[in-house]
Amino acid sequence: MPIPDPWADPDSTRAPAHEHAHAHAREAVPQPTESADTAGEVVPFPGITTSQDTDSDSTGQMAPTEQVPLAKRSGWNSAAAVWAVEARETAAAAMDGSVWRARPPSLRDLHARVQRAEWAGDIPALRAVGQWFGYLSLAITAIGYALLWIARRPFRLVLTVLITVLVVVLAI
Amino acid sequence: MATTRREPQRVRRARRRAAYHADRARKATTPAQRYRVAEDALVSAVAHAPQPAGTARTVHGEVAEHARKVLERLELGSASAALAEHHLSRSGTERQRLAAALMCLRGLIARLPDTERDRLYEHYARHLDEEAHRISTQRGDW
Repeated sequence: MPIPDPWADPDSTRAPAHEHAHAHAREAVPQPTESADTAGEVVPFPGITTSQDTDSDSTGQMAPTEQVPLAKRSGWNSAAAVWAVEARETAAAAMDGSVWRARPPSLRDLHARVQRAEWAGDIPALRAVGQWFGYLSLAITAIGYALLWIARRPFRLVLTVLITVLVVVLAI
Repeated sequence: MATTRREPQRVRRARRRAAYHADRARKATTPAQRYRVAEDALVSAVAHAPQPAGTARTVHGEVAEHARKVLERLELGSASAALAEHHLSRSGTERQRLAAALMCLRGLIARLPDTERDRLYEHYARHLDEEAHRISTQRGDW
């Protein structure tokens, strides 16, 4: 489509009425509709999509800990409730194929979980112990992820083995 | 917990690119800025076209022709005209030549009287934008 000459006869170059619809066609990119699928939506693992979000005032689908104000519950009760919910989620994830399908959580997410310590039920001792274990677990997970990263490509694996052998030979 | 199904990367890239240029076009306030946005959108669309070199060559020929028309009207000194001609016929990849021609056209329009300059900036911004849209949609990206 040739670009019209700006100095040509203005009557002949004036765009017909139907062309105004194309003038800013780049802005008329079809946006995904509300009711469409959630493809392309960024959802933090293992989060829920917006279509599954509940209203801020509805607690029907939330964990049992949310149904009664936390202040009225003892710390141990709320901690136990959180543990029960997480155990149920873990069991469901083990059964529905998430282990095969879903990506492992990032180290940042694991760190956030340790820092929030939602499973501690606001008991300082439980929080301290849990976070201590959480950081230990985070370090182990980081080492494991590094091993997985190396094992995922043959060249990485070969190079790592070579370097390890070299270090061992030089050290002896 | 099911993972979310994603669109193909090509579609996501095209959408991100279009959103970026649309955002810039929305923020542009002067005709010169709008021309600049349309210029960048066109170079980007050409770079991501199915045949970048061929598309860039076609568009370059067209833009250079328009730049020469503007050059004729300007009645510049011989040195300035030679410099403009050098920009229009410079060597390099097709995309570099297109970017140089668009830059040259922008520089030449800037030397016109104010009213004429703004009119031409608006004219070319609109048509370069349409051209960019045409190139980016010819593969059926949307």
